[in-house]
Amino acid sequence: MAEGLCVTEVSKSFGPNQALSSIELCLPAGSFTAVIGPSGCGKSTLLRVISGLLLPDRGQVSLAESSPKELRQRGKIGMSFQDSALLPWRTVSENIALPLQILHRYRANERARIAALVDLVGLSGFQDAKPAQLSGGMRQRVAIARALVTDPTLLLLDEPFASLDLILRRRMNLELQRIWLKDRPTTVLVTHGIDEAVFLADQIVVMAASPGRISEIIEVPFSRPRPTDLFTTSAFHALTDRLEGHLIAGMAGP
Amino acid sequence: MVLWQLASVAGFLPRDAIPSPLNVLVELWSNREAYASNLAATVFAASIGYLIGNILAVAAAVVFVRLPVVERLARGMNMIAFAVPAIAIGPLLAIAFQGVAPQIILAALSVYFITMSVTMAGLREVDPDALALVHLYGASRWSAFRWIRLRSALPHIMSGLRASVTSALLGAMLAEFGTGATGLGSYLLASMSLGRPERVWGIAMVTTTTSLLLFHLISWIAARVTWQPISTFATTGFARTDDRPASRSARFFVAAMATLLPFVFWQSLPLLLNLSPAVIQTPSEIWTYLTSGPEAVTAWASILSAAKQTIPLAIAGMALGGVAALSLALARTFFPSLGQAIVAPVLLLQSMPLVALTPLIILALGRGAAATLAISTSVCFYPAFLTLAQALEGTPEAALDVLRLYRASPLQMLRIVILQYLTPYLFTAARLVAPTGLLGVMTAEWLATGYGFGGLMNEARGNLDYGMIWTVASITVFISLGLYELILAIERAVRSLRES
Repeated sequence: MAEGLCVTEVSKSFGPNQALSSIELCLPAGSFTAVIGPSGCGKSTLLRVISGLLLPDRGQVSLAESSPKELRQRGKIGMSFQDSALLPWRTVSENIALPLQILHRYRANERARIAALVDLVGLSGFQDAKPAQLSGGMRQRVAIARALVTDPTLLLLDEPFASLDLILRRRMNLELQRIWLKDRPTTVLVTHGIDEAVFLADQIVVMAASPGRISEIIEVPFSRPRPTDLFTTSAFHALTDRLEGHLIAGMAGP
Repeated sequence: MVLWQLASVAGFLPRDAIPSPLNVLVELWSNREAYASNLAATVFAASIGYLIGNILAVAAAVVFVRLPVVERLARGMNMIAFAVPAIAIGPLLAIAFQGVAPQIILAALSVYFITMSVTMAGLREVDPDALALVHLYGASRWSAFRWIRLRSALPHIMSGLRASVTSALLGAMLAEFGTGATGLGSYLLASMSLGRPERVWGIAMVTTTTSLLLFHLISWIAARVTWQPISTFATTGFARTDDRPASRSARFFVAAMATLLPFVFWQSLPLLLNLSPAVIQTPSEIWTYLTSGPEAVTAWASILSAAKQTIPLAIAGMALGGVAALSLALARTFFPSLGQAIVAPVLLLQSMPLVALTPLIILALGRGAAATLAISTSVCFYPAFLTLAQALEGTPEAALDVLRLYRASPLQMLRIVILQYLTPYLFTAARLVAPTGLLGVMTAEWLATGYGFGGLMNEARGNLDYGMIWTVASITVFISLGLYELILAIERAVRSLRES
């Protein structure tokens, strides 16, 4: 069951640097939100505040039915990081099992579920491989599988495909849509890629830097499931051009 | 080996310094019970000390990482554990403890610092995202520790275990110098005066072989357990802690406490160990001994003359060892084939414990300053070499490629790029070998020349001059720490000079 989430008046500073300034954002339950913006605009900081890993100086994150703390205790938040952060001494299956072990919920019957996740992310046959034996894209897929292992109601992805080349990225975009469509957790995707954001998201949050703030929230009208050739349609391009314009205008300064 | 035998038979080698290998083997065989029992005694004590020392080191590292305040408070004690020349502590332990205990304690002390600092580095070098992930699922600090930090530090712990094998053996043997108990160390001392080079070589070979075997045993175990090798030398030393207390006065207070703690410990030793007060000399008693006691004048004179002999040789040994290490490391970078050729003898040098090497050098160079200097140089050489070789390997290739593009000469590459990256490691290497250089000189003095602090300690031990024993021990620790701090101060001065 996905959860709706609201970020209210959240501000966060690191010394003189104001990473987030009065952020107001609501994510409907089961929605997919992309956050884009230039480097240093606070995208990752926002994600960490939403996850509860970082406490804001002011404001709060409230969920429709529970608190972030409760969600964490039940393991209902899944998160992936830019560099996949896999434990190098564990195999693919063991890495995916990690959240369950921490939550003391690892039982023998979970093995089937982990195997299913391995298949879901398209890594069948690699269950016993170590991260060093996998490519960057494969490691990210393990990270996503790990984020999904507890059936999260909130899924947070921090630039998961940043280090991948265009072709692989496209493939991963399609994979992510396929995986997400299964249970539709409330998802936040932080990304540099405008096209990725438009393809995957229901709404796109455009952020600006110094101080970190939301400059625009744009609805994405395309219906799901979105086909591969969406990337080539003129409607798609119109939207990405518009977003690019916003971003560049934001950079030009007041 | 064959070359050795031929050279010996042909009379190329000085007969009284380097016997033929056949003679050595004959000697080994004919005295095998003596060798076996001495070896067993030393290995026994060294192994127990090794276990205790390493367990303590890992436990201490865990506590220090968990509670940085404790680490800062313990810094004084840790520095002493790092800086103390093991040979100086031997007689002290012999006074205070019976039986095998001195060997065990010195072996444990010898392994403690290196394993502790490497483990601390390993516990700290964790992927921050992995830690964040674990917190995401509500893991407590203990869970995070258990799942991530400890496992992540395992290769570091393994490399500490590997590197400390030789130290444990060395510690046990040096303790035997002080106690005279059964073991290879005592056996060696006895053989030095017999005028039988075969036996000296025999003991050296046995020691080296044992050290190599144990090293490979631990390496084999480590390889089965971990997934990547870690070098010990770049991480040895005092890591910077991340969290600092808020105020300057708090920092000063903690630093002061850290410095005082060893003295407090020392002063309370008579209570802790329940021994005759004459045997344990507290700091206040040492002060009296040196300033107003009955033999103050002669004692002070002996200390000063010993210092004049030991300290210059220690510094010279460090300097020569450092220069040799630097030259070899640079040669390896610019002439890789030469590097390959050098590696084998260097590896052999490393596996010979100080106590095995020293008698051999004394046989070759006689009982004088030359031998002392050679010993000090050779023990300083290897750690410095490893540190510098690693530093050179860490120089970014891209920077060098830019120079290569303009066909820079090796000298230019050295001056423009390499030196920049190398300089901090030069100081790290120097600090690393400061106590070792002193130890090398004192060992040579003890075994051969009779001069300096090594000779003074040996003499005091023979005379049961407790005041002198404790004085020499504490002064050598101070000198060792002083050298360390001096190098640190020079490093800071150089850095601020470069930054201005």
